[in-house]
This record gives sequence, structure tokens and C-alpha cells, in this order.
Amino acid sequence: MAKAGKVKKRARAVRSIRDVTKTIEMVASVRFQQTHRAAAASRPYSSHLAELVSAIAAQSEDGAMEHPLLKANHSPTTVLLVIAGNRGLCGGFNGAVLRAAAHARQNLIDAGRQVELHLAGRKAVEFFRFRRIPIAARYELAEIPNFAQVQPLANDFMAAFLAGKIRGVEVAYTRFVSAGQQYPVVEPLLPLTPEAHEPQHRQAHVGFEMHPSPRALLEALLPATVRLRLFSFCLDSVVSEQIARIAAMRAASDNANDMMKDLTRQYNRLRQAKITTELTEIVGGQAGLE
Amino acid sequence: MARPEDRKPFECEILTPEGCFWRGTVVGVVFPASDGQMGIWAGHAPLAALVGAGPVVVEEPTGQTATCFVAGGFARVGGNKCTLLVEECTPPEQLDADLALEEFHKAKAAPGATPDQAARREWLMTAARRKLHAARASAGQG
Repeated sequence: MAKAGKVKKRARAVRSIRDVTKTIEMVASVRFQQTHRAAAASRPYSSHLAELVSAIAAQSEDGAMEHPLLKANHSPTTVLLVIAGNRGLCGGFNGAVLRAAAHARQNLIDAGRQVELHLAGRKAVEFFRFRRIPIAARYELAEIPNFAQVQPLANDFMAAFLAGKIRGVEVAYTRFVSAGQQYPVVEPLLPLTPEAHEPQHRQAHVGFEMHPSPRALLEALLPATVRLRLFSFCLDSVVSEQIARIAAMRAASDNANDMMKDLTRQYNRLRQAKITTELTEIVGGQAGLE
Repeated sequence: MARPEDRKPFECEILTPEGCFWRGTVVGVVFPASDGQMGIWAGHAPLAALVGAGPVVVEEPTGQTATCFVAGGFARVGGNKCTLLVEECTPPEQLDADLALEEFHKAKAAPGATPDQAARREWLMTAARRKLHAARASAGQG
């Protein structure tokens, strides 16, 4: 019965692991709904902003815009901002984005650039610290990032870029496409690229009266676009993290359930075998006495 | 000036990166523009404008007004709709004079060596000063 006892103990351990993974899955699905709602809430602002930029571009003579945030400079330093999670138990989420970041860093070094590493998320810090790669700055993002938290970060990047201290900012994060599709990407934040500030569906613009002037509007719109882009990168990353956690914990719970079924069957067999042995012994003993 | 109930209504929304702060039918919107207050009524010509720091006042068809403090953004008017895109929007009762004063001192201490930095510092100081004024006015009313 010693073996059956061991099996029973193991089944109990697996059950408690299953309870933990189920709880984490439930917490992650609540967080997913919150973060997804936050990401969806920022969409109207972002589409209006992109349409305004596009309206200004449409009013310029050749549709092209001139702004220091759109021009690359010749500084040797590029900032690589990596947005990962603070915790594990989310499948390949952290690993995928960190591998993409390490690959992008190597590519930048191979292209002769100096890379300044800025990290958001404890897992990113652990990853690069373990590899003894110098970290220039680290940031703590809230569970649901708020705009006020991201705004100064984007402003600092823009100030450094406009002062010519950095050549650009690349951001490694996990892009959220849908509940079934998220993938790690490394995207430029600075200099702004045309795809970054134009709406996905171009539309005909009525002639806007620009107040005070198209130039002054553009001067304010492009920095606002940079801040918003960084904010949406952060939101995408947290939404993707929660989805990855839900999937990982669901798989872990399913595995635990399968394992529990096997262990229970194994325990019942062992118990049954023991009873059979005992009965055989009793019957054998009785026969011996007769 | 026509009474609120005689004026034509139009849609207005105040959007922030974190969501829709306010949405409703109004008969007038007044916001801080780059060179003073700007008022929007129904049927206004299509407009894209810079919004400065200060209070936004929306007048509802019932004659009631709602106010909030914004710290810069953009206004888009067209199709009988006014959309304000602002990064920061605070209801008057949530304005904190101490916090605004702290923001002012922080803005004053910001670097201003280059013309860009100086312009940015000036803008931050003006925004903080107006927020402080609005917070004190709100506290006085309360």
C-alpha cells in the first residue's frame, strides 16, 4: 500500500497545482478584459489624431511634411526600448520578445551603431543582466499602463533625439492583433515613419481652417503622435501578456487534469490489486485449514 | 446672444488617450485656443485648431454647463460635430492647487538653454499657472 499512498500524495499535489493554475487563469482573464478595454478606449483618439495629421499633409503642396521628428540624424547611438513582462507563467511571451530584442540589438551593433538599452519589465532586466549587457535605464510599468506614466518617457526620447544625442528609438514589444494572434516586433518610434502617423484608410479631406497655422498644428501633432504610439505599444504588450498567460495556464490546467485522471486510475488499480491479494490470502488460508 | 434652447444642438466629445472623457449633445463649446478663448456653435466651418491649457466649457441644450480643465491638445470641428483631443483632462473638483504649484516649480526648474527648451518651459509654466488658477477658483466655489 506504500506505493498507492505515494500515488495518492502525488495526485493531491497535482490537484493543488491545478487549482493554482486555474486561479491564475481566471485572474489573467479579468486583467485581459481590463487591458483590452483600455486599448480599445484609446482607438478613437488615435484615429482622430492620425486623420488630423493626414489632413495637414493633404493641404501641403506635395503631401510631404517637414519636421525634425521625421528626419534621421547622424548620432552613433540608438536607443532600444524593450517592453516585456514583470512576471513569468505566460508561456513564450517574455522569451519571444526578449529574443527579438537581442537579435535587433545585435543587428544594430553589426551596423556600427552604439546601442543604449532601456528596459521596461523585470523579466527584460533579468534577461540582459544575466548576459552581462549594460542597461542604460529601466522603467516600471503599471499593470494597466496610464498615459501620464508613458508621456514623460516619450518626451525624454524626443528631447534627446531633437538635441542630436540619439539617432533614433527602436521599440521591441509584442503586438496584439487579435485574441488569437500576437507576435513580437521591433518598430521604430523615432524618427517617425510615414506609416506611423497616417491613418490606415485614407479619406478625402474637406478643407479645414487651420488655427493658428498648419505649421503650428504639425509642431504639436507629431510629438503627440509619438507619445500616443509609445502608449499603444505598452498597451499592446500588456494585453498580449495576459492572453499568453491565459493560454499557458489553460494548457497547464488541462495537463494537470489529465495527470490527475491517470494518477487516480493508477491508485484505484493498486488499491484493487491489494484487496485482491488480501482476499486471495484469506481464501488460501481458509483452504489450508480445511 | 440667443438663449441656449433657441440654438441648434450638435455633438461634442472630449477624447483622451485613455478613453472618452465626455460625450453629449451641446449648443456651445468654449475652449482655450492658442490666442484666447474660442467658441463653437452649430454649423461652424470645418476647423482644426490647437487647444491651449485652460477650462473647456460645454453648454447643454438645457442651459446647464459642464467644465473641465485641459492641458493642451487639438480641436476638430466638422460635420456638425466638435471633437477635442486632449492628453490631460481633469474635472474641476479633482484639481489640486498644491499639485499644480508643484508642477509650476518643476516647470520653472526645467532646462531652457535652447529656444525649443525655453518654449517648452514657458508652455509648461503657463499650463501649470492656469491649472493653479482653476484649482483655486474651484476650491473657492466649493
